[in-house]
Amino acid sequence: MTARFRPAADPAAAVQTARVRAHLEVVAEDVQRRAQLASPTGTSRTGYRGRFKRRVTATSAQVGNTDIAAHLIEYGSVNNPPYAPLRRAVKAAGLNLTDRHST
Amino acid sequence: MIPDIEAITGRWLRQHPSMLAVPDVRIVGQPPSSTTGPWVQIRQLDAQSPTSSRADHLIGYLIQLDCYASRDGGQAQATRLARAVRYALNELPGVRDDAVVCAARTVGMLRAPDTDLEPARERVVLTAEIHAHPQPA
Repeated sequence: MTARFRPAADPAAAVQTARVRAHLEVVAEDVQRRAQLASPTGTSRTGYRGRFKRRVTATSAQVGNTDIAAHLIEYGSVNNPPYAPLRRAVKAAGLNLTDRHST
Repeated sequence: MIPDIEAITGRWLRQHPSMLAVPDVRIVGQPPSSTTGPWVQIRQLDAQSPTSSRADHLIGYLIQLDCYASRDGGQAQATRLARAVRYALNELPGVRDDAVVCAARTVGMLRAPDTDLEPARERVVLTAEIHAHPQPA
């Protein structure tokens, strides 16, 4: 039995399916959970650990943190170690890490 | 035992020509006692063993290299230092001390001034993935 590969007429539309979005949701949730586990412990449940945000579209997923000190927790400073929860979470989830930034 | 990637990277950078061309730079694992001159601080973020292997042999390291300008250096000095570090890292693969470095890849290069210093100090944060294992006996 043989099969022939036929490329989709509209590849962009072909990936914008409910299944793809559902998979992105699963991956984003996994990354967020791992990032929370890798976060420094604090006394407040509403601190850094409670400020993770996820955004999933038809073709992409984002995980971030809105804490005012998020950059310090991720990258550290001369006085603080870098906990790197987001970078470590991406690696732990088995994804390829590229550290780019957007606002 | 798995390689000490901070020590290996530090020794490599200290003797690499691209780093020797940068005056007065220090390669450190802790913040230097004097922050007047430029420095590169190496910090290991993670060291993962492949989930597909029971042997703790080939390790995927994630390290951060903070490239600080001197007090009077500014943005140009910090970025030049970071580019020199990145160039040296690219040549790290090979037999290094008692380890074999299989691959080294820069995955992030962020200009992030350190506001914990007064005045704020120009800094470029490099994130690198390094795969290494102990040298066979």
